[in-house]
Amino acid sequence: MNEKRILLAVDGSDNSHRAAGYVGEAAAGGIGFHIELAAVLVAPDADIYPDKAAFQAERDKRAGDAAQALHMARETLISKGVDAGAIGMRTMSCLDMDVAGTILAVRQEAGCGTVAVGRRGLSKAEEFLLGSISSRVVRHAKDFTVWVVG
Amino acid sequence: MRGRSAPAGSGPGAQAVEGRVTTVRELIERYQPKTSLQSYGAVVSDTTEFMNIGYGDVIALGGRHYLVLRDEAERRFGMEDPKFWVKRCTELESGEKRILKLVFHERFNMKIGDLEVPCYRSPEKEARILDLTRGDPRFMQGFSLPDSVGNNVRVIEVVFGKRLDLAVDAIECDHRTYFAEHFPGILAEFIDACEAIAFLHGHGERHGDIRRDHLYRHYDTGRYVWIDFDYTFDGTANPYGVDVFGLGNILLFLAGKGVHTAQSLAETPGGREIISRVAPEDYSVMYRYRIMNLEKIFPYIPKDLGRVLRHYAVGSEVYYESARELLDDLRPCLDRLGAPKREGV
Repeated sequence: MNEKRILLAVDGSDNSHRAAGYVGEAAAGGIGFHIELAAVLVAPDADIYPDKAAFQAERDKRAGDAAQALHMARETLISKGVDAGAIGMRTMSCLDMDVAGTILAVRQEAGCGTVAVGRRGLSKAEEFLLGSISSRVVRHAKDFTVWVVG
Repeated sequence: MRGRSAPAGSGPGAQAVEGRVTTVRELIERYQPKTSLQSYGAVVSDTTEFMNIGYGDVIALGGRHYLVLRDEAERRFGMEDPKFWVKRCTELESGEKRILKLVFHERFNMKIGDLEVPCYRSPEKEARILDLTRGDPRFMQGFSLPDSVGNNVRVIEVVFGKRLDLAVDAIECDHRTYFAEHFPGILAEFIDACEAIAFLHGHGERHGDIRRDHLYRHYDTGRYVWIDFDYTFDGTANPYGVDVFGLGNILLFLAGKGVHTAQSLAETPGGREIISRVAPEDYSVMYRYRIMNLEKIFPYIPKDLGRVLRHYAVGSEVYYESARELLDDLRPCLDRLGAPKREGV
């Protein structure tokens, strides 16, 4: 597995912005690096919207947010000195309500030896109830490296 | 009033049912329910204004008629909380008791310990689970139908049973006797109830509101039955986390024959000595006053069961992410406890 192929998962949050900055610093000027930016598109739960219009509006908003997150991360990487030609971008629909699982599936498909994610800094209680994507990625890591940027 | 007939009489607002004008009085005379009615209300086919539907009204739905007896209420912490969108009814055609859940799109924060989880009430989700679990005795039974304006009304069969926590509470013996004689049978049934939740998760569904008063023990079969599936929440990093947390809470209650806190222990003989052994990491990760590490209180609790409970404690480094993971650890506990000596509850 090629460690210089880095999958950077982004969601537009400050944490993912920090992760992009870190990856940019690490990869800038290096030879053979490729950074694949991935935004996981989580569809809203249709059950919580009283009508289809509200559901669709939220879906459109999330698609826009994902595109914006990719764009922001790309700009950050370039500002750190990463060659624009070494950056790929993709949006992936969330599989089986499992963001971490989707990130891992993208990594496999993109042939990345490194995964970089931001960390939200959840409390134990929050992690139990809400789940931590970075913890889940680390838990399932095998034959690749994970960078968790806090 | 939309879809609502005039009360007691056949005035201009009366409702046409089965080709003839029908009032509540006529329906009562036709079906003669066992319930005696003090006042006659209206026949309602549009349930949108559920606050206006009450005792003595009849909800006409899918060719059947449901005489409303009262609003259901939830009793928690000694308080009665009326649920105006849930009607206890008699189905006039069959004489059977039914619960009609009307559409109420509510958004609120579920408080779990110090956390607040945005929560939603979804008729569609509950209707879907009723379809998914039809004929499965581990779940309350019912079906859904649209009313005259398309509201998703769920018609629920009343569970003929007792709340499990009340049944456990009513067992009169000390904990050691309870644990040796009753708990193995209770755990066997609870594992079956966890399997039911794992079944939901396997189909991408969540119960959404797992708590002690949503699990009943059927009077005839002794099986545990889940009720109320209309809560949902927006969670994708750990979609089943709230359910798994609820299962842990119930397990704690069942294994401990109640919830034990430093405060409750302090009032028992020898309790202060026990408290001195309880460390901060022994408490629940959510409710910092609940002791999850029951081995500290009841040393005869097998280590593997203690380990399962400690997954819910502050000291745990890993948490269960699904009911299946919990079950994988819980089943061996039952094997270790041996065959139930008597019926659980």
